[in-house]
Amino acid sequence: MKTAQDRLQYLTAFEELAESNFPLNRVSPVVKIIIAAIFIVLTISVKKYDIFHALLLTSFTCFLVAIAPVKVTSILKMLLYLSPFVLMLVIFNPVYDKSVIRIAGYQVYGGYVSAFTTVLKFINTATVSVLIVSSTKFIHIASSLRFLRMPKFLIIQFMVMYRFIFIFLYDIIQSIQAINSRGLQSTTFSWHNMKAIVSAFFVKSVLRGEEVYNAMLSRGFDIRNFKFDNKINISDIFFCLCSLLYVFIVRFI
Amino acid sequence: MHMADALLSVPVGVTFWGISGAAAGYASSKLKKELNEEKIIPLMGVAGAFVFALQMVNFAIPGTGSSGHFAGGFLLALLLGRHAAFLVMSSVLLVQALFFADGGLLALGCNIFNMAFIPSYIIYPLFKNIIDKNESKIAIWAGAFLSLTLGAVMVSMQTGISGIAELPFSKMLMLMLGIHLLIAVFEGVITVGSYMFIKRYSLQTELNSEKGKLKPYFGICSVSLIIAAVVSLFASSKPDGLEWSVYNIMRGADEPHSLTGQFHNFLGSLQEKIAFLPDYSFAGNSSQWGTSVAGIVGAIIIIILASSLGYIIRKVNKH
Repeated sequence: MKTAQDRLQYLTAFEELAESNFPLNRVSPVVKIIIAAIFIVLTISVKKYDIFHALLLTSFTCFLVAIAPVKVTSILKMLLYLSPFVLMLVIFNPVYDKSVIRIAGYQVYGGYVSAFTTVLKFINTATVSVLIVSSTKFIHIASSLRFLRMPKFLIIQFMVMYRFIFIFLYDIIQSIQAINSRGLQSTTFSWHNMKAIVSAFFVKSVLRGEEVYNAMLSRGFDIRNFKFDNKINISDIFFCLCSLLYVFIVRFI
Repeated sequence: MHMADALLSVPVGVTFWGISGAAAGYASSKLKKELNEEKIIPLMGVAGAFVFALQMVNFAIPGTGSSGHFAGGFLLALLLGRHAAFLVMSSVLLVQALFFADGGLLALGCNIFNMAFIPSYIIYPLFKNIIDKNESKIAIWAGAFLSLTLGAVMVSMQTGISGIAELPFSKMLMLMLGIHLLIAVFEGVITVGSYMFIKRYSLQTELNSEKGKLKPYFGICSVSLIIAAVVSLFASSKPDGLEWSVYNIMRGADEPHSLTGQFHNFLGSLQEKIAFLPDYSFAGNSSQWGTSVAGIVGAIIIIILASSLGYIIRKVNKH
């Protein structure tokens, strides 16, 4: 997902996934976000040598993968793209942590265990947040954030910005294609020209943004009276309770 | 520079969520009071999408074989003012965290602090008056450079305090700064160029309504605190020069006997009772983070003392 083209395709795919009819799509967005938040906090609270609980929590991630609309290969690709920063730091754990701990009767260097636990935590937290979002329409995510008391001003700005992102990514792709097609040997941008490119984008963005916003207004978008819709059914509450019960059990047994 | 959940501890994540959440509430209420919602929301949306899209453009960092991308926090502050810039950057980070898992949900508070709060509320007020007065390109460059550098320092600190990665703080800091100093140079250059170019169109004036002088005290205090925390982490565990000299003169004695009179004993016991971070550390714990907290507390005390002194001098002068 390094290029603008990849990101645009990724966001478009997200929109389509949210429309599909998988079990996770049918759960209320508020419930999903609450579950994700609690799961992430519980996962991060696992101690660095506690490989047992980290593995048990991974079982919940696997369950969500099974009921979510995203393909496993797509998740793996995303994890691979996001992993360098985490790997760059945990790769030093075996070097600096030479403490010896016992796992299943075997003596192991603590550094390797803590590095593995951290990678597991990373996989769990990153995967769960993407699964939750991929199964939810953008407008419902925004509504859930409002339900969780995020400032209305910030949410509406977030919604408007999200709509504009598609347009500007498309503009960026066009510009990059234009630059590449005119370049001779160079594979990267010349940073001397960056300021002109950046500024041209901004000016273009403001002008396009005004047009898009006027179109939104003409279709009934009203900032002051915008209503957020959050419906929670009994089945959502049941799913929430069962999930949280399972997560708490595997975290604290 | 996005922090991942896996590298954070829960207390650090929750603390920075609290700070960033409070700042978001403050910025929202300020903007609501000062500006017309209907007018600024689309412009802020455009600016957010613009920065998001711009972050997709990678540029090569000469001599490293690596690449970096524009962050845009300081440019947003110059164009939109500090409150709007903070909210716009926060929503960009929210989209990245939710849709791309780029920085986790728990780490979102840290990321907002590092990439939105620092440029908008710490660095921007430091340079705003200079930029308004002279349109100094050096000041714009320095602002963008410092925003990114200070963000990288904070990433190292947050990771270090969390204690998940075993890499020592000094090495982590060198690693982060090594990568980000070069990116910060380009960030500064692009910010200067873009700001000068965009300024010709006067588009930023619609949002950046902060015409008056901005007091840089909060920025100065924050930078002082971060520097105090970082520098104190490098503090040597060996005794200071005077202690070392006395120790050598007394040939291994704990302290010179001439100093251990009754008065000295009294002061010593008093110090033990009132010192909440004895020997720059948490009581009974040799953790280096105790030293860091001691550095911050020390800096706060010095700031309070200096401010009080200034206040007293001003009062005396008035009379």
